[in-house]
Amino acid sequence: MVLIGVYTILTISVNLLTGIAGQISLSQGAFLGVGAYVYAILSTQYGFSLGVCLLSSVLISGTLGLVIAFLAIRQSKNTFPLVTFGFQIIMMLLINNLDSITNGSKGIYGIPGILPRSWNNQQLSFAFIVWLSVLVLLFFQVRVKQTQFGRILMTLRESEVEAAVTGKNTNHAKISVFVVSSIIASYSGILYAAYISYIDPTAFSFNESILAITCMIIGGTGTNMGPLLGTALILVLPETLRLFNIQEVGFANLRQIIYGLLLIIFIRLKPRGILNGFSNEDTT
Amino acid sequence: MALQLLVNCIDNALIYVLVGLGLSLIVRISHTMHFSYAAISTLGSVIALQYYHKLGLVAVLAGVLFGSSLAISLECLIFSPVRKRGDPMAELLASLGGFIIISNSMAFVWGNSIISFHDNTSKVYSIGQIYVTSGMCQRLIISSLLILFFLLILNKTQIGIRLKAIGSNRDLAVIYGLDTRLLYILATTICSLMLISASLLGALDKGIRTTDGLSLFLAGIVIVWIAGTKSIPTILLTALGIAALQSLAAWYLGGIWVDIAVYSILVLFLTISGRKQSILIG
Repeated sequence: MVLIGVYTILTISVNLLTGIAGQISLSQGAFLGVGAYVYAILSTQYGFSLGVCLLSSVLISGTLGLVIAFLAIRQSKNTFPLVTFGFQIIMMLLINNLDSITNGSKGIYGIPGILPRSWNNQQLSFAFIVWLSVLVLLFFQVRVKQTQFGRILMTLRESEVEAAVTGKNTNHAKISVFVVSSIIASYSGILYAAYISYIDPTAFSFNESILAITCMIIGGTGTNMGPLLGTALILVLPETLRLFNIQEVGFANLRQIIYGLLLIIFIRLKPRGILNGFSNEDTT
Repeated sequence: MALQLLVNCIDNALIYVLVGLGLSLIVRISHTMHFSYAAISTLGSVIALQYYHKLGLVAVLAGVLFGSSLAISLECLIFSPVRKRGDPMAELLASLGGFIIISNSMAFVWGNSIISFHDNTSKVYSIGQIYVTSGMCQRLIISSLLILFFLLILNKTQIGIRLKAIGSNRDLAVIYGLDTRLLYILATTICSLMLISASLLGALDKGIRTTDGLSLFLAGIVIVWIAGTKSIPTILLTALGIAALQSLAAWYLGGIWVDIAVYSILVLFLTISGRKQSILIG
């Protein structure tokens, strides 16, 4: 349940950027990794408090998001994903190879939780924090769509030319939504690291970026509850494979294959996802 | 040392030229970067390398044929119907799905260890102060032949002219009665042949992992982005430039900076050119 909450937050970050603003990002996995590694490094190697770790994570991911957004801002919808793809590849290379900082492919062990050790019922409290975050972010997403800023983003999704014709500052909107989306993705990374207490580069690969997009598409691109529905479905469905006693290493690959198949099936048959068309929150 | 760097750089550039030419063709007619080719190219060469010690050159042929057939199947079953909706983003997302399925299927079957030719004893020849491996010689000959083949197809045949026509204006090509479906399949075949060959030639000396396709694909993207899809000499020069920067990065900074160097070129290019150049793709 906690992991579904963590990945729902990641999917919300994609939904804001792709579902609402129409900009496909292939680097959400990298931002997930930035959050997780900043938290892990600062808490295990330097013993910083949660507040400092959170602030540093937000600052670093926000700054990286700003830089990438500036580079990608002048690109068309077709080429925007390629800039973010390059960033994903570079982040993975750095995480894998800067052994002295990230411990390379061995990963970082013993990451502390975000709750004080004195607290009783740590698991339940952590789950409460995660799901409270999900609720807050879902509400934030709904509010964004109702604002002037949100309307600019939705116009951008339908047509960049139309958005520019309205006289609004579309570049500012694109940069802002990218930075916010990066920060939300890195926040989910912090929660992931604190929950699992061990991270390695494989958890933040290009596959994770595609996973987040898949969750969004299955749930319903741009819908309010789509991220939650899509993430829940996509994380629960492959668990049925465990009934067949498949080894853990092979299981990870099979799970990804299922994600890929679902992505293609939905793109082919129901490109705007489950909630678009079946509920009254169709974004089209 | 400078001469050795130049030789290494030309050696790398030959692989990038193949990737750049293959991707330029598919981007030119579909206006989408197909990520599935990152996995298809690796799959073809993994099959070839995995069975080379048993089947010899038949394994290489099987790898190329299997990879190309898979690319054609994806084109017919997924990309072509999605393309008819006129949404390039949907095509991009479908290609991401294809990439995920193929790359994880490879990892499921073969794991993630390095697969190499079993008689991987590349001979080293010294010419003055320059060292050249037998792999380098094979790369030079085979990639030259493939580049020649590509140029001939594109510039001297009816197929090439029709492919260019679709790239310029698909609707007009349809009005003139061109069989676009067949031409897309032909472009897919040529592109997968170029990319699988590039991946295979790159693996001659150092082998390949099932996850290696993305780095080669990133280089291909950068080449097409900078050079565009229409000028073959520009693609050759850009490939040479990227290989030169990579060789310098690997020589002075170390192996991990090779891909970072490629991305830096992209960043620099984006900063200077902005949106103007990307219209070549979009």
